[in-house]
Amino acid sequence: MRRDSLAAFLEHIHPKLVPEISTRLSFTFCLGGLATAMFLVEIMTGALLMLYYFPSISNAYPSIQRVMYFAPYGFVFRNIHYWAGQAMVILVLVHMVRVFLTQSYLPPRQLNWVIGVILLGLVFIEDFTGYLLVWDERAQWASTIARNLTEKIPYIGDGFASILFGPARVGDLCLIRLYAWHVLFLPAVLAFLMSIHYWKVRKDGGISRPL
Amino acid sequence: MMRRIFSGHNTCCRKIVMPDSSTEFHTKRSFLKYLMVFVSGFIGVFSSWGIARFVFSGTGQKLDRTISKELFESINRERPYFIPQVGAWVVKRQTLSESEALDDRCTHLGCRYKWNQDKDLFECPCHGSEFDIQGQVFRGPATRHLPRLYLTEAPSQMLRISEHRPRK
Repeated sequence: MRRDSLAAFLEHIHPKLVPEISTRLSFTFCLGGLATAMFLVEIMTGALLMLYYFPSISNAYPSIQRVMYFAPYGFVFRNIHYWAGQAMVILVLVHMVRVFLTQSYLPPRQLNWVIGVILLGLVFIEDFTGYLLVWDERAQWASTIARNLTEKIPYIGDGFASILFGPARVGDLCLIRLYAWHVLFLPAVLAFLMSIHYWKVRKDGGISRPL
Repeated sequence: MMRRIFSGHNTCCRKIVMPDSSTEFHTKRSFLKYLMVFVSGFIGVFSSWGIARFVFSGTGQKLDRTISKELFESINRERPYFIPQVGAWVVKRQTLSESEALDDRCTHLGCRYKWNQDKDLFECPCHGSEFDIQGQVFRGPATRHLPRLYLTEAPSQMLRISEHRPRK
């Protein structure tokens, strides 16, 4: 039974039959798939970097220096993590532009478009929290600015800022909160929404046709 | 017994009935499959080696940087000397235990700083942070002192530059 379920799942992810036209590279440029590949690269290299990263105000930046200059191949893993993150943001953006230009947001794919827009927002937040974890001068100011901007949202701003950045203004609690968002909650939500996104692509009749 | 093989074209696939035999022949597809397995295996082994080294060197001697004793002896006392191979500035003092080293990156945004002999200060060319000879912040924007490194004896006429304070 479990074997059958696995086979059915794989069949959905990679069906045996696909429309011939959709096998052309120029059809989608594999942008969604490449973004997913970058996400997997992020998870693998991020798991390695977690072995060295120390989420506290006084140790965060030195721990990154340790990865970059002391740990064997540390600079390779950190650079892959950094650049795959940037590539993921760009790929998701270009993917959205492609979907928009081919009018693939029209029914029956409207729900998948909404999920995709949410995914784009989450990828931005994921990238931004990673930028803050370095905790150099730039990250400290960026977190202060981001918090101030979040607090300006009418009615929910203060509460939302507390959820995102923690109760303290700039301190250990803020950094630990950002770390938890970056390594646990956001990737979990991203993975969940990406599964629905892929499932909906199949459910709505395969990848979208060109104009 | 039946075997199913595929032609080289992407668009079509044919079922060919063949006698069960020991006759082996390679199609373009099977050749590419073997090639992919070989290349993936090579990349896999190579990356596993790097990952293993990264994971298993969280602590211990592998984090350290070494220089020859001969080089250390040639350095003038009380004057910072840059050793690019290990990415550190070394300040030689009366004894080895008093001597110290500083990581060569500014704690502000990671630029390589330089020694300004006229001011007796380390200066970062990127944003103007200044540090004294012991690595203490003299002027911002940096707020953290330079990471202090320690010099200790190592085998084969070498000295180890380590971020761990030597045990007495």
